[in-house]
Amino acid sequence: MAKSTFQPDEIVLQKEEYSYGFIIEVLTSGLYPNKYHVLREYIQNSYDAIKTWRKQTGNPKYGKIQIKIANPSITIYDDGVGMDWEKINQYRYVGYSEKKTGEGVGFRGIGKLSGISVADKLIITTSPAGVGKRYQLVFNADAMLAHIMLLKLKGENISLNDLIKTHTSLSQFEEDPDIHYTMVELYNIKSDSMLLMDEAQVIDYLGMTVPVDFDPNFQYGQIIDEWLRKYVSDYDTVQISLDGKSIYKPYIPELNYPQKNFVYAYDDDDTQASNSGAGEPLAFYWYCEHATKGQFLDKKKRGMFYRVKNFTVGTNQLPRISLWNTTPERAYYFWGEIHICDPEMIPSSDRENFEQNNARERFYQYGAQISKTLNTLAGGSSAKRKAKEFIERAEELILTIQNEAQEGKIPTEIKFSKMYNIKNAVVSVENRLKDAPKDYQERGEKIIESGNALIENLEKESFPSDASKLVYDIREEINLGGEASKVYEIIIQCIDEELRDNPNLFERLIKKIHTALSGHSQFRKSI
Amino acid sequence: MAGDPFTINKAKVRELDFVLIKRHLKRTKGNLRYFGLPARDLLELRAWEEYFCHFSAVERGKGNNGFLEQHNLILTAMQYGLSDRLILLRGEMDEILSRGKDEFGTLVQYPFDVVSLDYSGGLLYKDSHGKSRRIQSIVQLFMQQADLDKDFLLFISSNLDNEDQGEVRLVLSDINRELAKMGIDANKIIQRILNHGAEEARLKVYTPYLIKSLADKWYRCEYNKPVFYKGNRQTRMTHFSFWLKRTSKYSSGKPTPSDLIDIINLPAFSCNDGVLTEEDFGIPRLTQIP
Repeated sequence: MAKSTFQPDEIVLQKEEYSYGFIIEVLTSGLYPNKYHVLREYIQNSYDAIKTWRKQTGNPKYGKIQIKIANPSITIYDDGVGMDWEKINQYRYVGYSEKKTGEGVGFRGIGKLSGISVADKLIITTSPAGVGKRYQLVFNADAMLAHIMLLKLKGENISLNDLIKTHTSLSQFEEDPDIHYTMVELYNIKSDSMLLMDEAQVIDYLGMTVPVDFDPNFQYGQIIDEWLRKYVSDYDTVQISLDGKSIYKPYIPELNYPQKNFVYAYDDDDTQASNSGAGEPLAFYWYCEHATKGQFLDKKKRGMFYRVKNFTVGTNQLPRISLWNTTPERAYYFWGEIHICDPEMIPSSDRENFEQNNARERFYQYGAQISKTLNTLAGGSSAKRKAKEFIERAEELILTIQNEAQEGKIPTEIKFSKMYNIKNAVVSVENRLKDAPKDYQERGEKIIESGNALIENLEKESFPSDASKLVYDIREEINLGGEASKVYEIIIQCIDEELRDNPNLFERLIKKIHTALSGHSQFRKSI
Repeated sequence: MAGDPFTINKAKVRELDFVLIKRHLKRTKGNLRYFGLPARDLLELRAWEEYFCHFSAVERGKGNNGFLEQHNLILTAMQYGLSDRLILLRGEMDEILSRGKDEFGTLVQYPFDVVSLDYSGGLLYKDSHGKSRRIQSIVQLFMQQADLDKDFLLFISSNLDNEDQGEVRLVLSDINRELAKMGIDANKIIQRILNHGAEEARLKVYTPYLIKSLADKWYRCEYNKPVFYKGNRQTRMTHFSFWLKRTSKYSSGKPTPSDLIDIINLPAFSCNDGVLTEEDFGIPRLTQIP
């Protein structure tokens, strides 16, 4: 195996000459409070490498990223374009990136070293297509950080240039010129970063964050993917697997058919701007409403998510905070994405938000259209759902009372309470009928009719069709007369007064007393 | 990937191994589990790929930069689509087998259908206390495999840099004595083996005897012809293969005279430029009736 190791002096690092080594500590430890973001940084680089290769070869489906989590390391491999000698050298420049804003996903030249904050060593092996070389760069992060700590204790400093020279090595080997790839190993994950070794958690995080395909089991995945490819120019996906398991964007089972829309730099009622065709959209968004009721329960998997180049920015809290001024709970009635199309909307370094600039302010202003649309939809759905519920409840109540009445099982003492309940149900249905779907409107009208008829009949105490009584008087039934009847009336009156606020209990109690009295042989006549 | 060329001879040896895998394990093609120290280019794993669903690959890594050799092994696995089936065990083979886990606590996931032990320093390697961790680790392997009732193929490759402290001579003398007790005079043949100029002539008897003795408590051991060849940088190499069939039959742990005769008479191959030739080292066969 031909190998040549380059001495640090041969490597041009003058760009860091006037930086100090402590910057490494600040950039790596301080930048990523969420350790998972470190993985996202490397996936971004892999994705950009694959996208470059796709562009060069004209093969839009090419490429995959393989991740392996095996104690003590995490390894990320891509079959993208690879890095040539110059680029692998530049890899060591903190803050150096050839990518222009908007060109790739990463562009600041910081994230590539983020592995230093979670692992003892960062090993990068890469081979550019057509070169026949393999380059291997090793960052001895543990030694580098220990060196910095020691200097801090002594009150000394070191230039970034010297620090990197001391603790990195770059070698090259022979390689098949047809092969191109990059592999990054985060070697010996630190004890405070062991959560990165949890395969299930990492799959969960990546599925929510990186540009993978929709889960093939998601029934609307294909249509949404088609929309995104049509309307979002930088939307794309890549195959990513972790220990052989394919990673997909997750989905929620109970979803209504998806809807889509754009955000433009004018409000819906700004007809002049609208008619003049106010330029490119700021964003494209799609959403699915909860198919049944209210908010989704999984706090992480609900609401809307911002995406830039199909990478998530922030969590589901960010659109909720930035776009919802009223009823923010309604954001969680939905599942969807807001794909930013405005190239001036730039994710912040930690990708928890966007850089504060005019583009962001503009988007947050006009993006409020999203919350308006979704709130209106949620409000409408909620009213529709409530109307259906009221109609169903009224149907059940009126049918029960109808049956009781037909069997003559309504005690006279609770007749008015029953009539009151029916009236309430009828009024509720009347009030919500306009919100109900068509089939329910018909049912609602029927139940209003039945309810009113029942009230009328109870008032008359007979059905026109048959002469049987709808209510019965226990005193007549058991032949209770004179003093006993008076006592009964007093007792019932007292109970009524006490349980006026609890008609259900009152009804139960009355029925129980009636059963007891009628079961008593000396009173029994018929019931 | 360039470097560490798999020599023609070694390729032939792996070809023979594959014949054995097919002979004994064809039924479970696609579900086999491998443990061993593969070549850096994973050539054998790539060649056998369709038979295996799991590879536990040991990579010690040499010196301070051992992690780079381990890194390169994963790189190869990634390139050839083997990484999903591969568990990398980092550290010394003997240590890993003895402790049941690697330097970073990754457990050895028994059982295995094929175990390929590749030793530098020979099978007789002993530590500073004169104890053979290598032998202990092989016993541990047999115990773990037997616990799970697993028949398996065992390949043992080694160079001839044996740190023999008289053990081979001792074993051959033991064999001689055992046979004498049964009225079989093997003295002349044993002496010829002991005095033979080629170390391979002695290892041809010693290694199967050792494996048979170690395995006898749990396994019936079938031997295949060992192969002697030249590996990288003209290193003299030995390659033994055994089919270990689980048995519950109690054994004293000592081979019977008939086993001993089989071991002494075990034919061998010599492999030069990928061509196999029978090799008897000029030692006559031992017959049961002297």
